Amino acid sequence: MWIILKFLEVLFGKFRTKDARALGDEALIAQYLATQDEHLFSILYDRYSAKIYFKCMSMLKNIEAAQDCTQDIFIKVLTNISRFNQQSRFSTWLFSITYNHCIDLIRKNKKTIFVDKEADIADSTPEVSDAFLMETKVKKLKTVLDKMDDGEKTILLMKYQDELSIKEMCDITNKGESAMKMKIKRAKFKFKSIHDELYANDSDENTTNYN
Amino acid sequence: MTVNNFKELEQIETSALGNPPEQVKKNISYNLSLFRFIGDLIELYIPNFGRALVKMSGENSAQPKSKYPNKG
Repeated sequence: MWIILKFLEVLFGKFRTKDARALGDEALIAQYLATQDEHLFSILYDRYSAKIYFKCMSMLKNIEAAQDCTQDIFIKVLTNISRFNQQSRFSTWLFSITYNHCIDLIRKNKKTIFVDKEADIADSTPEVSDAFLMETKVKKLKTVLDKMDDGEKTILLMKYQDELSIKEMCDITNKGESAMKMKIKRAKFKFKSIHDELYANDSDENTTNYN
Repeated sequence: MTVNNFKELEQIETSALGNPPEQVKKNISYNLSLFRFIGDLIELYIPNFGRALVKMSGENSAQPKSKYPNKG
């Protein structure tokens, strides 16, 4: 009798998991909050762990720190999941926790990030088009991003890789909207400067693409 | 459709780096179990502990003892 019950439990567990895997993030969280079923969280983990691990790795540049950071982020998500208000996408919320956690770690290690030099001074940096950045070939994109400083690189990744809104970026970095717009503008210009410096003689890509 | 090579770079690098080691998932699961255990412990014992404290501090001493406890 016990064996039959156990078998049924495993069988229904498998069906339940199969169903849950088809659910969207927000529905999965709602179900997790209602049932506290660890399996549901495991599905979310499987969906996002590689992305979060990669983000930690690209910001911290240390494999062990990235693993610890990934672990801490998911524990943070678990303990705060009831505060997720479903007003934004789960991925946005998760990425904002990730960026905040990594920024805190970088700050603790006394490295500077998002430095506010001349933040409020209106500058005459020319506007670089989004298309220029997004259409840069992958290999060059990686090379240029690696040459940028952490703060500027992170801003570009938030904007183009995670497609966060200006407001979401402001919340993460604790900056005002106009300061953030200026930072994006400067980061784009820096990207273009490094790109042009490295690939000045390349003809396969646009090198003078200002808006 | 707009090309966004940032996304492509992310995909390439994410798959190159792979998933975090299984130990990370195990540690998260362990932490989750620990939090649950502590939560259950608090839920189970704190009310009883509170009640015990109340009793130890003389729960009924404020009320005068009835002179005729078996009456009415």
